[in-house]
Amino acid sequence: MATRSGLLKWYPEFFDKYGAFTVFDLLVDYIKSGRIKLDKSRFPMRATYHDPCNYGRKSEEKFGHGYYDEARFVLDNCLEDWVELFPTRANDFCCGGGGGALLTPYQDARVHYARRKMEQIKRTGAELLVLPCHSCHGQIKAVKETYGMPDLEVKYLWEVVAEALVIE
Amino acid sequence: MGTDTETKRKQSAVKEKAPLRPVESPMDICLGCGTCSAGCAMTGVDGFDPRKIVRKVLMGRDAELVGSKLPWICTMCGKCEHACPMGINIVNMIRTLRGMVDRDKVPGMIQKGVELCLETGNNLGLPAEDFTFIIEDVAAEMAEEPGFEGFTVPIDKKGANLLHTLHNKLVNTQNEDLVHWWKIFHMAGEDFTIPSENWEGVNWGLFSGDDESMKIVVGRIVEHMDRLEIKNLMYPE
Amino acid sequence: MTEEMTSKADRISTPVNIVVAGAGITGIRTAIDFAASGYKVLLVDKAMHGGGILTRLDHQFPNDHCGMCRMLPMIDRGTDKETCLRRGLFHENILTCYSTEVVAVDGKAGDLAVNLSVVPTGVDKTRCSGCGECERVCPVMVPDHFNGDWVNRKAIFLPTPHLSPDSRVIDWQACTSCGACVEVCPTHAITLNGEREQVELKGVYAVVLARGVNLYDPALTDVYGYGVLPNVVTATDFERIMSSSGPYQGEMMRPSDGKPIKKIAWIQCVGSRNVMIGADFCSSVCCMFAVKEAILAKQKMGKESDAVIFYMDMRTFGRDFQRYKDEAENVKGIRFVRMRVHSIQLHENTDDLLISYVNKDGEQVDEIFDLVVLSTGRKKDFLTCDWAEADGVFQVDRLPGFKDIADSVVGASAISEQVLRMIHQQNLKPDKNESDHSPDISFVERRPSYITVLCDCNTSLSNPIDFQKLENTIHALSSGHQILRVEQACSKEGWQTIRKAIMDGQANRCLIMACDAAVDFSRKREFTNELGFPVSFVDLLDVVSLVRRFQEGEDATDTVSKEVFMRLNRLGTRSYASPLKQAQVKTVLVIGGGPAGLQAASVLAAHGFTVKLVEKTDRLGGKLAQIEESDLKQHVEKMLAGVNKNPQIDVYLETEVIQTSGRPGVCMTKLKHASGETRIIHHGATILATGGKEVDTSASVVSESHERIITGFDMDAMLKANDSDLVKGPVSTVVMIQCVGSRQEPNNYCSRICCLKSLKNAIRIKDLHPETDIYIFYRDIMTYGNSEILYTEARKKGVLFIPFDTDNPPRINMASGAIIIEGDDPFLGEPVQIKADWLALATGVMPNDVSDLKQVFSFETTQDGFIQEADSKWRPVDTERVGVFVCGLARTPARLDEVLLEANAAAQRVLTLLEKDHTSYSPVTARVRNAICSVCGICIEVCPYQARYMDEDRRVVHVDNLACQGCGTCAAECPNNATVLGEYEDHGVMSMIESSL
Repeated sequence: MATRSGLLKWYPEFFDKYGAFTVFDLLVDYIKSGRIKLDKSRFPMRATYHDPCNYGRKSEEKFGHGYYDEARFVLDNCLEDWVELFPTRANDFCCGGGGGALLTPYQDARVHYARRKMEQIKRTGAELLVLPCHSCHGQIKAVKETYGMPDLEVKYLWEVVAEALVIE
Repeated sequence: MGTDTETKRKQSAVKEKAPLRPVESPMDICLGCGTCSAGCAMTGVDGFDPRKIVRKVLMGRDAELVGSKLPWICTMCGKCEHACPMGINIVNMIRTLRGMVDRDKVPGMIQKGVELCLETGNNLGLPAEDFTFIIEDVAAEMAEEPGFEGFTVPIDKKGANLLHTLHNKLVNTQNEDLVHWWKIFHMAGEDFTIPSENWEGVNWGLFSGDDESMKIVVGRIVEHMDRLEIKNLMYPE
Repeated sequence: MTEEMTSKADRISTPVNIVVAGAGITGIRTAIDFAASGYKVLLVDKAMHGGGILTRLDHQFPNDHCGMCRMLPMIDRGTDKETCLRRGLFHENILTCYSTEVVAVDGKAGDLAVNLSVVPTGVDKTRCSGCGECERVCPVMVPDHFNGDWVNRKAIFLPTPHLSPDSRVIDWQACTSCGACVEVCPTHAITLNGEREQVELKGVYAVVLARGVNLYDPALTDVYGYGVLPNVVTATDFERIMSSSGPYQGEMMRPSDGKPIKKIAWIQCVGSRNVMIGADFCSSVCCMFAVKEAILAKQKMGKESDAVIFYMDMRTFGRDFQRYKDEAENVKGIRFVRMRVHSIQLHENTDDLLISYVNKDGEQVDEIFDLVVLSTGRKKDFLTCDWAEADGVFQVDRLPGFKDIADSVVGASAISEQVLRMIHQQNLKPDKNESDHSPDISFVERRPSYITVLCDCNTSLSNPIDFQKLENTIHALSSGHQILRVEQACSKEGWQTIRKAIMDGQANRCLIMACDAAVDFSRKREFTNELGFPVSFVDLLDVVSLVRRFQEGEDATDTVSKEVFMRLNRLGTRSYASPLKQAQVKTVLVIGGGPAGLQAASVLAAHGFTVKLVEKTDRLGGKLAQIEESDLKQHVEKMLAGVNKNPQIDVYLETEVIQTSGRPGVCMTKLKHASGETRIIHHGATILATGGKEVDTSASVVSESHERIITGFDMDAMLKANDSDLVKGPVSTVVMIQCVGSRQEPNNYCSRICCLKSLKNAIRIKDLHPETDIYIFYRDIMTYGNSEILYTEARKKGVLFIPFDTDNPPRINMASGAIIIEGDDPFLGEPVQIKADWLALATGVMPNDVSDLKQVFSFETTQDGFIQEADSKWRPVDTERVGVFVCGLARTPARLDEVLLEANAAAQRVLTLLEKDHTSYSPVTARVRNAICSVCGICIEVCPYQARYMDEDRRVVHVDNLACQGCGTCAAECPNNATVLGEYEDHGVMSMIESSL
């Protein structure tokens, strides 16, 4: 988010010289071109996916494209049984860890913020939560115990891909 | 306004500075409908309420907001804006307010991270040799796993296809999460490289509303690309 | 229509004078206007049914019932009472045709070629008996969109639940052409060919485009979960949930799990008032729609239920709307929460819905609901239409927008008037059926001779009827009764057989035992016209419906015999009186010389009428000086000049109306000049355009006057004067307070114009002095429709709006000599104090005093002194007194453009009444048997149509046969049975009842 908007704002000529790709672009490309092969059976459990604000509605707002479908394509290739949260995509709830919230002293507020997100996850009955954002990852791991979900596994999207890699 | 009957309404600096959303609604267009407040998970916590903040900005009461912790409670997630019928740029309003705070009054670790990054090239203040050591150590361990034999991390590789930066927490306390991308790159046969210095993948100027620092850190990415003649950038965050 | 015509395209190819495209309320209204004047109308709609959105609604505010039928002509209508518009529109001059589009219009107004593209219904209406076998055997099931997709329907179906049963159509998209319906149809009425047909009509005088607007689709946004959460429905979906003809038969069940609904939230402004989706407009009707639904739902849900409306401004801008809303809140217990809901969430692991909002204390509150109703507004744009601007096309609306029923009806009649003006100016004539339908008197006056027709379709009934026994019963009545068995009484062959039998047998009373299909009113009229019978001498017994209440297989003979016996008895007691004809005076009395009166007078003169324009004061023009829209001002000035020069318009200044007598079409009225001189004028109709005035209610909020505390009207005037302090400046701070003395008792109605005035004033001040701070204290900003842009513009320019409740209005403090306004900012939860250079109080309007005229014309007034219309939704410019019409501020607060439109609509109502040289009235009216009348006057009081009056000289009660609608209220109330109603004379009804025992 910061780098992409910064490049657009201050170094627009960058895009004439170099290519630039999001994590989603890379993963989708690797899978579609067959450069990596994935084995879904590594993740048989019920899983769900969290759309981070930065890759979702804020990308949509700032860059005209939200990375919703790319993530879902990757998930379809790694997970046996994953379900959507409600609400999802552009209207998804923030985990409470955005905007540098993990770095401020207002930690009670941050934990309180997560209640809606955690209710959403609980409703799906998922054992595994997949997400593609360092802040969200840190926040959910930090609050899951408070919300009675100590056993919820939290993994990066690329972590799931790495673990589903077929070793050749 | 407030209870001071004599003063004329001040012009808000926030209103002037905050960029507009695509519909180009000035903040004045706010209906006071409450969509933002109803949708924000933080409304009511420590007096936080997006509608109130917009209203105070419209009344020119910037100082009151800049001096409070309200701008820092917001996670800038943009859920408020998503349903705002008037297209008010609430996230940018918050970031602009943050930027107006004296740098020594920025709460928590954000400012410290920004300063260390400007000084040392990463938010941890980690020297280059320590960084190289950690990276090589983790890579060596990964190379012992079946399928990844012989894996090494190419550092400062000239002419590589892809530039890869790192979130400082992976280098710091969460080393085990470094390997995921490396494994994917290895299997995909990706020609990537990591810079030995200025490898920081986050840019906290975004959070602190500090455009100057943010520009410097983005500039380092451009430098890497130029210096190492790399073809493509993998966006850091 | 001739008998050979079967296909839909053929049916259209009859002479058509006017094509109306769009069969919503507006289209129906114009079609009826033209038809009433004798023009042949083709009413088409793209949809498979007419009636538009209203077909999905069972109830309308403010009286919470239907009432569409009140649009039908009140004079010269059939004697039959089958006039429910939801069953269909039956008028001899109107041909309705659905799934049909106008594709091109060429030529000049008065002589147009109109190309139509017609999708066949697949069912030949002239053959269909409405038995429904086709629908029963159809194997296709598709979601029934009419009922919110909650239930399924067949591919051959009735597009709306109330339609008469021969209106089934085939949905070609769903139809698999399996042929099951064709095979089973007993009358061979079905053809499986859904190909579009092209029809060209020539010599059409005009095309009316009444396209309406479509509803916003809330699935376009993700915040409400519409289409994902089954318990989130739109307001029109919800009408179906509540309807007894809906998917749950009116049980309050929610779609997801059938759980009883106990708690409902309404979310306003879905798709409206949202610049992010390009919807900078208000959809005008959704607020009242939601209040109505909440009231009905609360009634249905019973105790322990909750209905909450989330809103930004409750736009109760109609004359009676504020009191309706207040009653909903204070008496019916509907909760109103001022908050635009962000999203609808799920509650835990249930289908319950959770809504978060911020309460008055600034806390976030979660509430759980069984169902959420989205008050969806209109779509942004009109449907595209290439020929909208072609010559001879009259568009009802030039801007898209939703309208309340009353405003739609007014707009429609105003267009009818314009169309007829063009037709009159070109001297074009209606394409009438010139044949005289008066019954053959010699035939009718003979003593009754009966024929009973038994349709053989009846043998396919699920219940056996012993026809022999039935015949014996009929013969037992008298030996002269004839009995005829025919195959398919509803078919053209069937008709011919019946007609022949009647002619041969010299019968003059006829009872046809058939099914619903033959009972169609329009057919009955056609049939009796051909026979030369009065309509009331033929009775149709729907035997299918009659036996439906029996168990399958149970013998229904006795019941049917009784019914037949009863009906024949009643036929025997019927008598016939020729309709009375009366010449009409083509002069119109217009009372009031303001914009409404001037408009009505000019328009009527253009149609060739003579107008007597009476004005109380010494000049015409009303409040011309205050009109701010320059185009409208020019229009009124032009009219003023025209009226003074027009030889067809006689102007009487300083004159009042003191007495009137006569009946619609022929009235005599006495005028009195200020000098005391009186004169009598003769006229056929009257328009009341007595207008209104500003009401200065500032005393209700300020105890003493102050030169810088002014009304919104004053501020407007100051801003127009270039040398005023406000224009010259400097101006530091301006405060405006809305609804001063309005929208609370005793003046509990919205004046409609004060919000617009304040916004325009504020924008003008900001344009003159951008640095000026402007604060507007308001209750609800009433920028309905497209005027929302003014509100948006004022905010964009930096005007700050502060809402307040009636229990906590802003206070004005002048103790220090300065003007200080104290109030509360509910958004911040803080008190505010503003020192103002200028304070403008937005005061409203009230009607001029009409108590003298009320005595003369005996119309009703509302508690606020507005003239009461006959029906606030369906007949907005009629009064209960036939031939007396009303328009403008006399009736309701309105903007000037709306006032002018009302004047056109009132003129149209006069046209309908006076266009024919003669009028006739139906024989089903009440009459008085003077011999036993005690002249108590009860009947005069109870008559809802003011059709009765006392002849003081002769001490007898008279009935105005034109005004009488045959409702029977008088007969029911008369203590002496001295009042009788046409064919329902007591002995007739009694013999019917006796024979049924």
